[in-house]
Amino acid sequence: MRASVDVAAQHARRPITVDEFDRLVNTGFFGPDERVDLIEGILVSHAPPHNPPHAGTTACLTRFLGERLGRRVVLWIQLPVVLSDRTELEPDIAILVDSGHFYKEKLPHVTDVHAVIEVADSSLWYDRGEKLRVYAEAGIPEYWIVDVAKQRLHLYAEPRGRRYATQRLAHRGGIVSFRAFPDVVFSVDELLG
Amino acid sequence: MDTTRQYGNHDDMVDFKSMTTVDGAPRLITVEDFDRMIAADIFDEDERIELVEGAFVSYAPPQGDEHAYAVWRFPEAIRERLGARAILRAQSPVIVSKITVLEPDLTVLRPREDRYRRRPVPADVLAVVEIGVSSLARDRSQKLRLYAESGIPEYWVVDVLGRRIETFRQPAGAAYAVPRAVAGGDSIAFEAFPDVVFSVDELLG
Repeated sequence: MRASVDVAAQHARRPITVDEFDRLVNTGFFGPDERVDLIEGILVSHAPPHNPPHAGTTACLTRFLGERLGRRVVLWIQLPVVLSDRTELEPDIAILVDSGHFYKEKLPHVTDVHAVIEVADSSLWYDRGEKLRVYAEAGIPEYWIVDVAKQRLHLYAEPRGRRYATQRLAHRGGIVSFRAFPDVVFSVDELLG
Repeated sequence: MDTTRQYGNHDDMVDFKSMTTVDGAPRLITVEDFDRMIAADIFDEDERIELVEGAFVSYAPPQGDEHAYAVWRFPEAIRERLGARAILRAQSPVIVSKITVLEPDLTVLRPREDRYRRRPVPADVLAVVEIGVSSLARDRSQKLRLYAESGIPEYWVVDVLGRRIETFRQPAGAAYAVPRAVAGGDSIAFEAFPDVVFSVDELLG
Protein backbone atom coordinates (compact mmCIF):
# COMPACT_ATOMS: atom_id res chain seq x y z
CA MET A 1 0.00 0.00 0.00
CA ARG A 2 2.91 2.27 0.67
CA ALA A 3 3.95 1.85 -2.97
CA SER A 4 0.46 2.83 -4.11
CA VAL A 5 0.57 6.02 -2.13
CA ASP A 6 3.92 6.83 -3.70
CA VAL A 7 2.45 6.34 -7.15
CA ALA A 8 -0.15 8.92 -6.30
CA ALA A 9 2.65 11.14 -5.07
CA GLN A 10 4.05 11.37 -8.58
CA HIS A 11 0.92 13.15 -9.66
CA ALA A 12 1.00 16.46 -7.86
CA ARG A 13 0.32 15.04 -4.45
CA ARG A 14 -1.57 17.60 -2.47
CA PRO A 15 0.15 17.90 0.90
CA ILE A 16 -1.71 18.61 4.09
CA THR A 17 -0.33 21.68 5.83
CA VAL A 18 0.39 22.08 9.52
CA ASP A 19 -2.33 24.70 9.64
CA GLU A 20 -4.88 22.27 8.21
CA PHE A 21 -3.59 19.49 10.45
CA ASP A 22 -3.99 21.64 13.57
CA ARG A 23 -7.54 22.50 12.55
CA LEU A 24 -8.30 18.80 12.12
CA VAL A 25 -6.88 18.07 15.55
CA ASN A 26 -8.79 20.94 17.12
CA THR A 27 -12.09 19.85 15.58
CA GLY A 28 -11.66 16.38 17.05
CA PHE A 29 -11.09 14.82 13.69
CA PHE A 30 -8.88 12.05 15.02
CA GLY A 31 -10.34 9.65 17.55
CA PRO A 32 -9.07 9.62 21.13
CA ASP A 33 -7.14 6.40 20.49
CA GLU A 34 -5.59 7.54 17.28
CA ARG A 35 -2.18 9.15 17.17
CA VAL A 36 -1.14 10.64 13.89
CA ASP A 37 1.89 12.66 12.85
CA LEU A 38 2.04 14.93 9.84
CA ILE A 39 5.26 14.23 7.97
CA GLU A 40 5.97 16.20 4.82
CA GLY A 41 2.28 16.73 4.18
CA ILE A 42 1.23 13.12 4.71
CA LEU A 43 -0.62 11.68 7.66
CA VAL A 44 1.46 8.97 9.28
CA SER A 45 0.33 6.56 11.97
CA HIS A 46 2.05 6.82 15.29
CA ALA A 47 1.63 3.68 17.33
CA PRO A 48 0.54 4.56 20.85
CA PRO A 49 3.47 3.94 23.23
CA HIS A 50 1.42 1.77 25.51
CA ASN A 51 3.58 -1.28 25.93
CA PRO A 52 5.36 -1.45 29.29
CA PRO A 53 9.01 -1.28 28.17
CA HIS A 54 8.33 1.76 26.02
CA ALA A 55 6.13 3.53 28.55
CA GLY A 56 8.37 2.72 31.52
CA THR A 57 11.56 3.75 29.74
CA THR A 58 9.95 7.05 28.76
CA ALA A 59 8.98 7.64 32.41
CA CYS A 60 12.49 6.77 33.60
CA LEU A 61 14.09 9.16 31.10
CA THR A 62 11.66 11.87 32.08
CA ARG A 63 12.59 11.56 35.75
CA PHE A 64 16.36 11.78 35.26
CA LEU A 65 16.23 14.45 32.59
CA GLY A 66 13.90 16.48 34.78
CA GLU A 67 16.03 16.07 37.89
CA ARG A 68 19.30 17.08 36.24
CA LEU A 69 18.23 19.62 33.66
CA GLY A 70 15.57 21.10 35.93
CA ARG A 71 14.45 24.60 35.07
CA ARG A 72 16.98 25.02 32.33
CA VAL A 73 14.60 23.28 29.93
CA VAL A 74 10.99 22.39 29.32
CA LEU A 75 10.44 18.65 28.93
CA TRP A 76 7.80 18.00 26.30
CA ILE A 77 6.54 14.42 26.54
CA GLN A 78 4.71 12.95 23.54
CA LEU A 79 3.44 16.37 22.55
CA PRO A 80 3.47 18.07 19.16
CA VAL A 81 6.46 19.91 17.72
CA VAL A 82 6.24 21.82 14.44
CA LEU A 83 9.20 21.11 12.17
CA SER A 84 8.02 22.89 9.01
CA ASP A 85 4.80 24.08 7.42
CA ARG A 86 4.16 20.46 6.39
CA THR A 87 5.56 18.48 9.29
CA GLU A 88 4.28 18.24 12.84
CA LEU A 89 5.05 15.25 14.98
CA GLU A 90 5.20 14.06 18.56
CA PRO A 91 8.62 12.89 19.70
CA ASP A 92 8.61 10.71 22.80
CA ILE A 93 10.60 13.45 24.52
CA ALA A 94 11.54 16.89 23.25
CA ILE A 95 13.96 18.96 25.32
CA LEU A 96 12.90 22.53 24.75
CA VAL A 97 14.29 25.95 25.45
CA ASP A 98 12.66 27.29 28.62
CA SER A 99 10.73 30.10 27.04
CA GLY A 100 9.07 31.04 30.35
CA HIS A 101 5.55 30.43 29.07
CA PHE A 102 5.51 26.66 28.51
CA TYR A 103 4.50 27.14 24.87
CA LYS A 104 0.95 27.91 25.83
CA GLU A 105 0.56 30.44 23.03
CA LYS A 106 2.20 28.56 20.21
CA LEU A 107 3.51 25.04 19.68
CA PRO A 108 7.30 24.72 19.79
CA HIS A 109 9.17 24.99 16.50
CA VAL A 110 12.62 23.75 15.50
CA THR A 111 14.43 26.73 16.99
CA ASP A 112 12.87 25.94 20.37
CA VAL A 113 14.31 22.42 20.44
CA HIS A 114 17.61 21.45 22.10
CA ALA A 115 17.16 17.75 21.37
CA VAL A 116 14.59 15.04 20.74
CA ILE A 117 14.54 11.49 22.05
CA GLU A 118 12.66 8.55 20.61
CA VAL A 119 12.22 5.39 22.65
CA ALA A 120 12.35 2.57 20.13
CA ASP A 121 11.22 -0.98 20.43
CA SER A 122 9.49 -2.27 17.32
CA SER A 123 9.88 1.12 15.70
CA LEU A 124 13.69 1.17 15.56
CA TRP A 125 13.85 0.89 11.76
CA TYR A 126 11.52 3.84 11.46
CA ASP A 127 13.26 5.96 14.10
CA ARG A 128 16.68 5.33 12.53
CA GLY A 129 15.35 5.73 9.01
CA GLU A 130 12.65 8.15 8.02
CA LYS A 131 12.40 9.96 11.35
CA LEU A 132 16.13 10.54 11.50
CA ARG A 133 16.02 12.02 8.03
CA VAL A 134 13.08 14.25 8.97
CA TYR A 135 14.77 15.50 12.16
CA ALA A 136 18.08 16.08 10.38
CA GLU A 137 16.48 17.94 7.50
CA ALA A 138 14.52 20.09 9.90
CA GLY A 139 17.76 21.00 11.66
CA ILE A 140 17.01 19.44 15.06
CA PRO A 141 20.48 19.81 16.61
CA GLU A 142 20.60 16.54 18.52
CA TYR A 143 18.64 13.30 18.29
CA TRP A 144 18.85 10.31 20.61
CA ILE A 145 17.26 6.93 20.04
CA VAL A 146 16.89 4.68 23.06
CA ASP A 147 17.03 1.09 21.82
CA VAL A 148 15.06 -0.74 24.46
CA ALA A 149 15.69 -4.22 23.05
CA LYS A 150 19.47 -3.89 22.80
CA GLN A 151 19.75 -1.64 25.89
CA ARG A 152 21.81 1.06 24.24
CA LEU A 153 21.55 4.61 22.97
CA HIS A 154 22.16 5.98 19.48
CA LEU A 155 23.33 9.58 19.70
CA TYR A 156 23.18 11.82 16.64
CA ALA A 157 24.34 15.43 16.41
CA GLU A 158 25.22 18.10 13.83
CA PRO A 159 22.48 17.78 11.23
CA ARG A 160 23.78 17.89 7.65
CA GLY A 161 21.12 17.58 4.99
CA ARG A 162 19.31 14.28 5.39
CA ARG A 163 21.57 12.86 8.09
CA TYR A 164 23.68 13.71 11.11
CA ALA A 165 27.40 14.31 10.73
CA THR A 166 28.28 12.69 14.05
CA GLN A 167 26.81 9.58 15.54
CA ARG A 168 27.84 7.21 18.28
CA LEU A 169 26.55 4.35 20.34
CA ALA A 170 26.44 4.43 24.13
CA HIS A 171 26.18 1.18 26.07
CA ARG A 172 25.41 0.29 29.66
CA GLY A 173 28.27 1.41 31.87
CA GLY A 174 28.90 4.46 29.68
CA ILE A 175 28.02 8.12 30.16
CA VAL A 176 26.24 10.58 27.91
CA SER A 177 25.43 14.27 27.80
CA PHE A 178 23.66 16.66 25.50
CA ARG A 179 25.66 19.06 23.34
CA ALA A 180 23.63 21.93 24.74
CA PHE A 181 24.37 20.89 28.35
CA PRO A 182 27.84 19.32 28.42
CA ASP A 183 28.11 19.87 32.16
CA VAL A 184 25.12 17.61 32.87
CA VAL A 185 26.25 14.00 32.67
CA PHE A 186 23.96 10.97 32.74
CA SER A 187 24.90 7.33 33.06
CA VAL A 188 23.36 5.06 30.46
CA ASP A 189 22.38 2.75 33.29
CA GLU A 190 20.22 5.32 35.01
CA LEU A 191 18.54 6.39 31.77
CA LEU A 192 17.69 2.81 30.81
CA GLY A 193 16.54 2.05 34.38
CA MET B 1 -23.80 5.44 8.07
CA ASP B 2 -24.99 2.78 5.69
CA THR B 3 -21.63 1.73 4.33
CA THR B 4 -22.99 -0.79 1.87
CA ARG B 5 -24.85 1.96 0.14
CA GLN B 6 -22.00 4.38 0.45
CA TYR B 7 -19.21 2.22 -0.88
CA GLY B 8 -20.90 -0.38 -2.99
CA ASN B 9 -19.53 -3.85 -2.51
CA HIS B 10 -15.93 -2.89 -1.91
CA ASP B 11 -15.79 -3.23 1.83
CA ASP B 12 -13.21 -5.94 1.46
CA MET B 13 -11.05 -4.01 -0.94
CA VAL B 14 -8.40 -2.66 1.37
CA ASP B 15 -7.84 -3.68 4.92
CA PHE B 16 -6.68 -0.18 5.72
CA LYS B 17 -7.74 -0.16 9.36
CA SER B 18 -5.22 -2.81 10.25
CA MET B 19 -2.43 -0.61 8.97
CA THR B 20 -3.13 2.31 11.20
CA THR B 21 -1.40 0.89 14.25
CA VAL B 22 1.99 0.41 12.61
CA ASP B 23 4.47 3.11 13.50
CA GLY B 24 5.39 5.05 10.40
CA ALA B 25 2.76 3.55 8.12
CA PRO B 26 0.80 6.07 6.07
CA ARG B 27 -2.45 6.88 7.79
CA LEU B 28 -4.72 6.54 4.80
CA ILE B 29 -7.48 9.07 4.39
CA THR B 30 -10.87 7.47 3.86
CA VAL B 31 -13.89 8.84 2.04
CA GLU B 32 -15.48 9.35 5.46
CA ASP B 33 -12.42 11.31 6.60
CA PHE B 34 -12.51 13.35 3.40
CA ASP B 35 -16.16 14.22 3.96
CA ARG B 36 -15.49 15.28 7.54
CA MET B 37 -12.62 17.44 6.36
CA ILE B 38 -14.86 19.10 3.81
CA ALA B 39 -17.53 19.63 6.48
CA ALA B 40 -14.91 21.11 8.82
CA ASP B 41 -13.97 23.63 6.11
CA ILE B 42 -10.37 22.47 5.93
CA PHE B 43 -10.02 23.23 2.23
CA ASP B 44 -10.59 26.34 0.15
CA GLU B 45 -13.91 26.14 -1.59
CA ASP B 46 -12.40 26.45 -5.04
CA GLU B 47 -9.70 23.89 -4.50
CA ARG B 48 -9.99 20.77 -6.63
CA ILE B 49 -8.76 17.69 -4.85
CA GLU B 50 -9.09 14.02 -5.62
CA LEU B 51 -8.58 11.31 -3.04
CA VAL B 52 -6.39 8.61 -4.54
CA GLU B 53 -5.78 5.51 -2.47
CA GLY B 54 -5.84 7.39 0.81
CA ALA B 55 -3.82 10.46 -0.18
CA PHE B 56 -4.77 13.77 -1.73
CA VAL B 57 -3.88 14.64 -5.29
CA SER B 58 -4.31 18.05 -6.84
CA TYR B 59 -6.85 17.86 -9.57
CA ALA B 60 -5.61 19.90 -12.49
CA PRO B 61 -8.40 21.80 -14.24
CA PRO B 62 -8.55 21.61 -18.02
CA GLN B 63 -6.05 23.86 -19.72
CA GLY B 64 -5.88 25.22 -23.23
CA ASP B 65 -8.36 25.55 -26.04
CA GLU B 66 -8.45 21.94 -27.22
CA HIS B 67 -9.03 20.41 -23.82
CA ALA B 68 -11.54 23.00 -22.66
CA TYR B 69 -13.54 22.51 -25.84
CA ALA B 70 -13.43 18.72 -25.68
CA VAL B 71 -14.45 18.65 -22.02
CA TRP B 72 -17.54 20.66 -22.95
CA ARG B 73 -18.29 19.13 -26.37
CA PHE B 74 -17.88 15.47 -25.58
CA PRO B 75 -20.57 15.20 -22.86
CA GLU B 76 -22.79 17.48 -24.91
CA ALA B 77 -22.61 15.18 -27.95
CA ILE B 78 -23.41 12.17 -25.81
CA ARG B 79 -26.26 13.91 -24.03
CA GLU B 80 -27.87 14.84 -27.37
CA ARG B 81 -28.14 11.16 -28.27
CA LEU B 82 -28.64 9.37 -24.95
CA GLY B 83 -31.22 11.80 -23.64
CA ALA B 84 -32.88 10.55 -20.48
CA ARG B 85 -31.55 7.01 -20.79
CA ALA B 86 -28.60 7.92 -18.60
CA ILE B 87 -27.60 10.59 -16.14
CA LEU B 88 -24.43 12.33 -17.24
CA ARG B 89 -22.13 14.13 -14.89
CA ALA B 90 -19.06 16.07 -15.88
CA GLN B 91 -16.11 16.42 -13.51
CA SER B 92 -18.17 15.31 -10.58
CA PRO B 93 -17.08 12.96 -7.79
CA VAL B 94 -17.46 9.21 -7.91
CA ILE B 95 -16.71 7.19 -4.78
CA VAL B 96 -14.42 4.62 -6.34
CA SER B 97 -13.49 2.84 -3.12
CA LYS B 98 -13.28 3.51 0.62
CA ILE B 99 -10.08 5.46 0.06
CA THR B 100 -10.50 6.84 -3.45
CA VAL B 101 -12.75 9.59 -4.80
CA LEU B 102 -12.17 10.61 -8.41
CA GLU B 103 -13.80 13.19 -10.66
CA PRO B 104 -13.92 11.72 -14.15
CA ASP B 105 -14.37 14.16 -17.02
CA LEU B 106 -17.63 12.33 -17.75
CA THR B 107 -19.56 9.75 -15.77
CA VAL B 108 -22.44 7.87 -17.42
CA LEU B 109 -24.83 6.76 -14.70
CA ARG B 110 -27.88 4.56 -14.47
CA PRO B 111 -30.96 6.71 -14.10
CA ARG B 112 -31.92 6.94 -10.45
CA GLU B 113 -34.87 8.65 -8.90
CA ASP B 114 -32.87 10.83 -6.56
CA ARG B 115 -30.63 11.88 -9.47
CA TYR B 116 -27.67 11.12 -7.29
CA ARG B 117 -28.14 13.43 -4.37
CA ARG B 118 -25.60 11.07 -2.89
CA ARG B 119 -22.49 10.61 -4.90
CA PRO B 120 -22.40 7.58 -7.14
CA VAL B 121 -20.46 4.41 -6.36
CA PRO B 122 -19.11 1.95 -8.97
CA ALA B 123 -22.34 -0.06 -9.02
CA ASP B 124 -24.14 3.06 -10.29
CA VAL B 125 -21.69 3.69 -13.10
CA LEU B 126 -22.20 2.49 -16.66
CA ALA B 127 -19.03 4.12 -17.98
CA VAL B 128 -16.46 6.76 -17.18
CA VAL B 129 -14.57 8.90 -19.66
CA GLU B 130 -11.31 10.77 -19.17
CA ILE B 131 -10.51 13.43 -21.74
CA GLY B 132 -6.78 13.84 -21.93
CA VAL B 133 -4.27 16.22 -23.36
CA SER B 134 -1.41 16.23 -20.91
CA SER B 135 -2.85 13.67 -18.50
CA LEU B 136 -2.96 10.69 -20.89
CA ALA B 137 -0.19 8.74 -19.19
CA ARG B 138 -1.97 8.87 -15.86
CA ASP B 139 -5.34 8.15 -17.50
CA ARG B 140 -3.92 4.98 -19.07
CA SER B 141 -2.09 3.74 -15.99
CA GLN B 142 -3.17 4.78 -12.53
CA LYS B 143 -6.76 5.76 -13.36
CA LEU B 144 -7.29 2.71 -15.53
CA ARG B 145 -6.16 0.51 -12.66
CA LEU B 146 -8.38 2.29 -10.14
CA TYR B 147 -11.46 2.10 -12.35
CA ALA B 148 -10.83 -1.55 -13.25
CA GLU B 149 -10.26 -2.56 -9.64
CA SER B 150 -13.49 -0.86 -8.63
CA GLY B 151 -15.40 -2.88 -11.21
CA ILE B 152 -16.55 0.06 -13.32
CA PRO B 153 -17.67 -1.80 -16.44
CA GLU B 154 -16.41 0.52 -19.15
CA TYR B 155 -13.73 3.17 -19.39
CA TRP B 156 -12.89 5.46 -22.30
CA VAL B 157 -9.72 7.49 -22.66
CA VAL B 158 -10.09 10.31 -25.17
CA ASP B 159 -6.84 11.45 -26.78
CA VAL B 160 -7.85 14.92 -27.86
CA LEU B 161 -4.76 15.84 -29.87
CA GLY B 162 -4.46 12.38 -31.43
CA ARG B 163 -8.19 12.44 -32.20
CA ARG B 164 -8.68 8.86 -31.07
CA ILE B 165 -10.55 7.09 -28.32
CA GLU B 166 -9.39 4.04 -26.41
CA THR B 167 -12.17 1.96 -24.91
CA PHE B 168 -11.76 -0.62 -22.17
CA ARG B 169 -14.37 -3.20 -21.25
CA GLN B 170 -14.69 -6.14 -18.87
CA PRO B 171 -12.74 -5.17 -15.80
CA ALA B 172 -10.46 -8.00 -14.67
CA GLY B 173 -8.37 -7.25 -11.61
CA ALA B 174 -6.18 -4.21 -12.21
CA ALA B 175 -6.88 -4.01 -15.95
CA TYR B 176 -9.61 -4.41 -18.53
CA ALA B 177 -9.81 -7.61 -20.57
CA VAL B 178 -11.04 -5.94 -23.77
CA PRO B 179 -9.14 -2.85 -24.94
CA ARG B 180 -9.84 -1.24 -28.28
CA ALA B 181 -8.82 1.95 -30.06
CA VAL B 182 -10.89 3.86 -32.60
CA ALA B 183 -10.30 7.02 -34.62
CA GLY B 184 -11.74 9.27 -37.33
CA GLY B 185 -14.94 7.94 -38.81
CA ASP B 186 -14.89 4.74 -36.77
CA SER B 187 -18.06 3.82 -34.90
CA ILE B 188 -18.17 3.71 -31.15
CA ALA B 189 -20.91 2.91 -28.63
CA PHE B 190 -21.20 2.31 -24.94
CA GLU B 191 -21.65 -1.32 -23.94
CA ALA B 192 -24.80 -0.32 -22.08
CA PHE B 193 -26.29 1.40 -25.15
CA PRO B 194 -25.17 -0.58 -28.21
CA ASP B 195 -27.95 0.91 -30.30
CA VAL B 196 -26.62 4.44 -29.90
CA VAL B 197 -23.68 4.57 -32.27
CA PHE B 198 -21.41 7.59 -32.47
CA SER B 199 -18.51 8.33 -34.74
CA VAL B 200 -15.27 9.52 -33.21
CA ASP B 201 -15.38 12.63 -35.39
CA GLU B 202 -18.84 13.42 -34.11
CA LEU B 203 -17.75 13.20 -30.48
CA LEU B 204 -14.65 15.30 -31.04
CA GLY B 205 -16.18 17.59 -33.66
